[in-house]
Amino acid sequence: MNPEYPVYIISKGRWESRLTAKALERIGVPYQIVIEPQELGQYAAVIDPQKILVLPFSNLGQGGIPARNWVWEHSISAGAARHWILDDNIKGFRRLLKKQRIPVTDGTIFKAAEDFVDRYENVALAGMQYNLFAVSGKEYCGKSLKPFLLNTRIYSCILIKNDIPYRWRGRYNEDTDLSLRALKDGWCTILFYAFLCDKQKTMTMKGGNTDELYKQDKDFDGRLEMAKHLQRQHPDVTKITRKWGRWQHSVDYRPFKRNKLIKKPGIIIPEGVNNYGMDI
Amino acid sequence: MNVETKQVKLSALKLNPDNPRRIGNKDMERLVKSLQEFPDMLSIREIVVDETMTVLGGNMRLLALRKIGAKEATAKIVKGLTEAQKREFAIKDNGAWGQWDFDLLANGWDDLPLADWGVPIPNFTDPNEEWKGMPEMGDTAKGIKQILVHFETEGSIKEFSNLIGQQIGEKTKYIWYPQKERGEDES
Repeated sequence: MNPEYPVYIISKGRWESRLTAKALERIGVPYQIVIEPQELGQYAAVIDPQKILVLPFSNLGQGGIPARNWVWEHSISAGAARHWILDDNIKGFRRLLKKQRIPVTDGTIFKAAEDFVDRYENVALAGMQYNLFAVSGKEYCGKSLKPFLLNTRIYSCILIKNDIPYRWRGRYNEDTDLSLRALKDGWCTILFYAFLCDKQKTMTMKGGNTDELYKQDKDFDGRLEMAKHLQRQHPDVTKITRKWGRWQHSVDYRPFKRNKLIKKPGIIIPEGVNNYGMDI
Repeated sequence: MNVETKQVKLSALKLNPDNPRRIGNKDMERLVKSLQEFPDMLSIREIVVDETMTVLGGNMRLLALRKIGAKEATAKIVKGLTEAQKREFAIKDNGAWGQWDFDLLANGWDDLPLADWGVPIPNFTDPNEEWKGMPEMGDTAKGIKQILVHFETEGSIKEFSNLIGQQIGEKTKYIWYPQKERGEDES
């Protein structure tokens, strides 16, 4: 089973690794990879050109924001109600079942995620949690596993409702910013723990915006700059802290606990389990 | 301590820069609406300020009044509090004493726009309940009862550990009695 909504990967300088594209190829999920024109030759040498979308601009110096917004408009023009937008550093996808993070072999978890989100009127963003965050003492010390976390930041592998009144903006932490803008207006976000993505560790890949964003020298600390940027955008919920020898932003999502999921009228939720044909 | 209540110019009132309370856009909208609908509320429940006209209680209301474009507000000016007392007041004025009885609210006060009036309606979303008709996740068995055990000293931990015959290390978050091996507590 595959997703109904279009899946986009935004990629820059990563035709060699192309982790997300490889991961989606492995499980047979259709996708389009969005690249800048000067890299068409390199990407086309390793990816079916029919899966490549070439941006009408390049090197704008604004990180991935223009590409993300271009994708958004592209999916709207394709008539989609939502679209998936994936970073280009995802190694694989998994399903969480009884503490086991089981690699999936097809796109069913995308479809299941879409079906779940489409039960509600007010889910602006949804996404898959990182594999490394899914199994920890916190989730298992006598507590039930939760299939998703409501109203928090959605990152890396994101399903966006196309008609929400926002677009990507800024320079850093754009996923947190978009999540916060939606949450502040009463929308909900869903971070799936039932469905996971395996992200490559930050700063271990060439390409993308990593080098520039995480640059650190005596005159410039990229992490501090990112945290300050977010605090300027959302001073009411953002604090800057120093943890493990580096600057971090810390966002308080508690005010959004009151944003409630609203089911679409007439929706019928079946009882019991639906594994969508997935087995172990 | 001296207390005086009077109408003051809004421009004379200063927000407390150290106010530990904050308010989101939605809540601010609700507060603005609430004040517009019932302006007399402000003279019944004044903004409390110190002798420097810095707000001790009512920072959010002051922000809302500024948004509305109000020119004046009723202020209770309290003179003679120590810095410690001011800090204590700022916290206690917002203290969450007591709790809402949601049964009563739902069955006797439900004709009122409670959320718009600042009642923190809890989010009853239960992810497991919402997950009906979705892929199973399995669960972790909990046993029939769980208790918290507090240890006063490292020695107490060791003693307890010996007593039940199980290792309790720095990373131990929970144990089973009788002991279970790793993975055995999956249902």
